Amino acid sequence: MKTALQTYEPVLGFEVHVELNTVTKMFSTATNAFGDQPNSNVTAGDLGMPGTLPTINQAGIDYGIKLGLALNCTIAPESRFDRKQYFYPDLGKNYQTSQLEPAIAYDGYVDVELDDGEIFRVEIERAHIEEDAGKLTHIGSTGRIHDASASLVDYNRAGVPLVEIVSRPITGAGERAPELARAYLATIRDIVKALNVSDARMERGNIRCDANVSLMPIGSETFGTRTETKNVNSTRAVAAAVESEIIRQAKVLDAGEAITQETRHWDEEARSTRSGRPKSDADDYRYFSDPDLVPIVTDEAWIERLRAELPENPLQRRRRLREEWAFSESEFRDVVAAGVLDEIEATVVAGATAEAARKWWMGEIARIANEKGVSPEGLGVTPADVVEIERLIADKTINDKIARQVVGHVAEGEGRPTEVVEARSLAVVSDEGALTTAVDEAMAANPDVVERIKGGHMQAVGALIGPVMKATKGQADAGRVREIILEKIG
Amino acid sequence: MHLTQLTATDMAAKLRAGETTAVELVQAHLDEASTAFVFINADEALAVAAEVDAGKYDHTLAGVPVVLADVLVTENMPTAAGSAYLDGWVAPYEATAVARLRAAGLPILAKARVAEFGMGQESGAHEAVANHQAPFAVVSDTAGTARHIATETGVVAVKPTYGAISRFGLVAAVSSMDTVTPIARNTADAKALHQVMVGADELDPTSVEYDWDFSSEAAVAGGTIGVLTEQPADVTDEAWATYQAGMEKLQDAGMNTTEVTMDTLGQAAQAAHIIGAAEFSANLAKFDGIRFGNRVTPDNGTVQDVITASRGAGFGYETKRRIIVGTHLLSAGTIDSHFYPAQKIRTAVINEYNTAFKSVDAIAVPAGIQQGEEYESTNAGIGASLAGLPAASVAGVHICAPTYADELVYRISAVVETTAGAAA
Amino acid sequence: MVDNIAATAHIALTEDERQRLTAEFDPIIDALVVTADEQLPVTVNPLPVNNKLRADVVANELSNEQALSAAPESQDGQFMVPAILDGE
Repeated sequence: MKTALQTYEPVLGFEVHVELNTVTKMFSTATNAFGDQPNSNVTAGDLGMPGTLPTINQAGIDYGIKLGLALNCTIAPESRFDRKQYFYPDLGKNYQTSQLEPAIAYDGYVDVELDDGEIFRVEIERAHIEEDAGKLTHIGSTGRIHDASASLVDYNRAGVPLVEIVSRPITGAGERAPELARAYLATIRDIVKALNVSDARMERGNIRCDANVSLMPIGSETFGTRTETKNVNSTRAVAAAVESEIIRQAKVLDAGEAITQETRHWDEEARSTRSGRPKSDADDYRYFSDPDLVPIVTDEAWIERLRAELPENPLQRRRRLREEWAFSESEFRDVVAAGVLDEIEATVVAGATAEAARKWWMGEIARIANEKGVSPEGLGVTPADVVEIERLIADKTINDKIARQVVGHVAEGEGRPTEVVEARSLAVVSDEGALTTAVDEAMAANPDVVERIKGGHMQAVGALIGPVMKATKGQADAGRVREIILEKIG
Repeated sequence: MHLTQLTATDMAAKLRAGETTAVELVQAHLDEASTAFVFINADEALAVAAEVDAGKYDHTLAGVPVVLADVLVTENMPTAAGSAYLDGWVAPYEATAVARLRAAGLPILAKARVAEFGMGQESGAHEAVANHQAPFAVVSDTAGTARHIATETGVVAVKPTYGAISRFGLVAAVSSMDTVTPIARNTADAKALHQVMVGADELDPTSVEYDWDFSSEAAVAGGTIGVLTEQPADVTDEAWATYQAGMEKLQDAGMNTTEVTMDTLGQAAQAAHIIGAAEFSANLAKFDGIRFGNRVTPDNGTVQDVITASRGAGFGYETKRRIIVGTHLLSAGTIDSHFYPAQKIRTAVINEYNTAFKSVDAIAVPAGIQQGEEYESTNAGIGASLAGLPAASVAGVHICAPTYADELVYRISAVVETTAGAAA
Repeated sequence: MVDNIAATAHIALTEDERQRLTAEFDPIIDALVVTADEQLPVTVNPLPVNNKLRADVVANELSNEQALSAAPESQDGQFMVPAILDGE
């Protein structure tokens, strides 16, 4: 890529589709849910049956406006829905209800933080509301002689609300183009997640990215011919796709050939894009305003009510937390990468120190989660549990080693930390009599060690603490044991 | 008098007086059933009538039978909208207007023959009402067609304000003009049927919220009606005489008349044709042979071939022509030269009506003018559809009034129909 | 012209229909010229009604059986069509 970028300047553009997590679909009252029995989350309207009409889901509009506000967009005073027409079996009506002009939100920007903390501003052209299509499954022949195969259509996803976020062309990223692509998609994901307008699970297609790439000679003002790589569905993949496309296009241009305007597909295994269908700007979808739906007219009160519900911008929040918690840059980056920012924040809010919260979420909890192949927040250990464990350590009910065991038992669903400690009798032995007896026994069994301590070798105390801990099954407070030994020898 | 000769209102009165039964009324009409109907719902209609007779419903029209044009989607009865594509299809849901008729206890006698997707002069419902096979019926009026056929068959059709009656379950032809419309042999019966179906519906976002009141007994005296004072070239002497008779009745009833001309209506037919064909082409895209309807599978056909062949076999020539014209009108270039200007003409028509209604309460013009073959209606009939106005076709007169003034249209219609020839 | 639009509209025409429509098409389009004041806004809905929004509550779902009740061809609770190749 380095060679390519000595000659060419990459121009990027992204179209990100975000599936909203409303209860019902955008234009029908069918359930918006993933993975149910095929063709069960449908109304007659989702199947394009005669006489049916669309209805507009208020939540879908609200979510669209909130997302627009989070992207610093202007909210359209009046917008409406349009029919984008093409025949395809996954569209029950053979048109997609979308928004031509204006979109519900337009003219915004989003600040994207690169790996070194540099902020890159990406301008947002528009964010419009539309509906998803159904799902096609290609199957083998079923007893037919001539047919190679058939396709099955499930309309459960047809009509699921989407917001399509369209960036303006992005110049100036240079060799950081792949990094920017990754960071941009991650930023969008973080924003929709913080807004709670989408489940934001890229592996499930809740967020899908089309990446436009073109090259122009360095110094040129005229954009080159672009390709659109469809449905790149992870932050890692979008970086790889952009890099691969920059390299491919540079080779084509270097050979004196022209870039074909087309859609391309990201091939995860080959780590490269492959050619799809030719695409021209002249694709005629015969858009026209849907006469079955009436305009969306926003006013100040509506927009301000939604603005008041916006969470803190994720980038600003990260900066604030890093400062408040006084983590080093690398510590903080690890926390973000591990996806436990929310958990640590909740744990701190619940009363733990930032350092303790980080220790648990990045330590034992992360370790167990990793072992089980789940995410730390999905393990079943709550921020309140972490606070409770810290309290049990502080009041010397348990020690660090026992605490780690307690986390494991909580993760197994044995109850809250206090309940686990009780049920499993894990509280430290604080009975002085029992401890004194154990110390006496250890001293009697190791007279040479006692002599060495008396001779000033204080570090030999450890050789007595070990047997005491063993005798108390680890449930003794090592500090107190040390004190007792020194009192006796002292 | 034979039961079928009564008005719906009289049928209802006789039922309440115990002078007849709902079963007798339904049976009397079933005995007259003809080729106006594509599906006769005898068993269910008689069963509902028996329930009415057993006292299950308390609506004043309970037990008075009704006929539905076959563009209204019904459960348990097929809906084909006059198209081979849909032939045999039975819906798993029902039109809101039909649901309201059922809830009021009106037995549904039959589904009536329609032109394909309701776009044309064919209407079994009008025939049936005119021939006493039903006291009244529910049809669709898109750009004046139902009002025009009413003139031809001598029945009363009153298109409500756009959105007054839900379009949910009305097989869509032209979304922005389609109107569920009552027809009857007199104004009072149309008004009674209208009231059963009127009212906002959450299934139709274009249905309107309005506190409808049809109870006014007020006279039309003192109101002003916009009229034509000179016979237009395309109005026959006979039609002009009928119109003038109607206007005299209004004057006799104390209405002031004043001349109104509507310049924008000169382009109303073209605008309605453009908008109509465009919306029609998109509304019919869902008929693709995949989820419902009749599929045609060519040998070794792809899915796109199946769609093309199914639509080719299922649609008649006029439907195909309208879709192809509409597809063209929404295509790049033509959308700018034709479609958007037509939508602007629509604005101009609405503006001109609004201006006119500052000086008149309603406008009456001759109903009987032949225009082209695409939309056989008067410019005034088309204008009311473009502007969403309530409009009646009664005794050779077309009456329209401002949106939401449906009740006024009925009161004026009731006066006009007292001219000779308008009777139950 | 007619053939291209018929292809876009996915409508098979018989030879008779094709000839008839080819003859009728241009006169129809020519007759549909309107002249509007460009400054006027377009009208989509005849009545000025805005913001008809509904609550986000599930209703009127069909069962899988109802959904497929009129399907020309189905399998495993899904609508079946001839193969669709990737990339449209």
